[in-house]
Amino acid sequence: MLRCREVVDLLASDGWRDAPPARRLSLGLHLMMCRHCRAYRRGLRRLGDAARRLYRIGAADPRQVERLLGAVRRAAERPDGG
Amino acid sequence: MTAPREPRQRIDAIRRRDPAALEAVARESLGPLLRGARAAGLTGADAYDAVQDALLVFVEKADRFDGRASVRTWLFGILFNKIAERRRAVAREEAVDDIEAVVDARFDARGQWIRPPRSPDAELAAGQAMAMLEECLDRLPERRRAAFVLREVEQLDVGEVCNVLAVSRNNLGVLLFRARNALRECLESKGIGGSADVAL
Repeated sequence: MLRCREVVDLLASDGWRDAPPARRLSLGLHLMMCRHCRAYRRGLRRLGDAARRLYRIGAADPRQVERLLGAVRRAAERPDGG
Repeated sequence: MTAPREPRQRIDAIRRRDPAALEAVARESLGPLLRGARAAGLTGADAYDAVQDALLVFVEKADRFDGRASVRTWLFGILFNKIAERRRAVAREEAVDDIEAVVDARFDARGQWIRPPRSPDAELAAGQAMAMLEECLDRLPERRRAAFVLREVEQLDVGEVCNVLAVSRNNLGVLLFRARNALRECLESKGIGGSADVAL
């Protein structure tokens, strides 16, 4: 039987993704029975959702973008790329 | 989720260094690369400069693109290489860290919760909470933030993040464990999170 502390390890490190089937099964069973670990997992998911929203709000500065694409275009049009 | 593989035609266009194809890649990769540069701790013009350096390397080496990884993963690899080069020394992840002790303190000797997590609820979406999350992210050491952002925001798969950051699978696990728990603890210390009762 997995301990809560081990569940936290598996979830936060993404270790569950390459855990053997028996360990994944026992993780699933633990989560069914333990509301604190479910809350922990839900917290991680919400953290990811919030980070996605946060990082996607910050728009790029259009002037910098044009400068940068200009440099790429000039390099791409040179046959040797250099 | 894995970044999408490229269609054959597009791989060919990149390999023959077709200017329109290269520019299209640059245009669509800008946003993700800028986020990556910021996650690695670069701000303002430095972030744009690092992205430009990476894109110029991409243009120069495009004929060597083999299409095994998506072009975006390839670009992330170039970007993080460039950033590491700039810094010269790539800091090693230390064996122990405060966050391990903070997490351990939530459990008893048998590994059961003493201080159960408070589940961040809908309030995490509100403006003030987002500002707090930004503050907490700013406090993370760069490599942890980079690992977290590549996984959660860019949604690269575990193997791709290992390649981009040049770390082992175990090392990535440590980085993610520390980043996620530090963010959770930081948000809880700021009072973000419903009560434990919110848990199902």
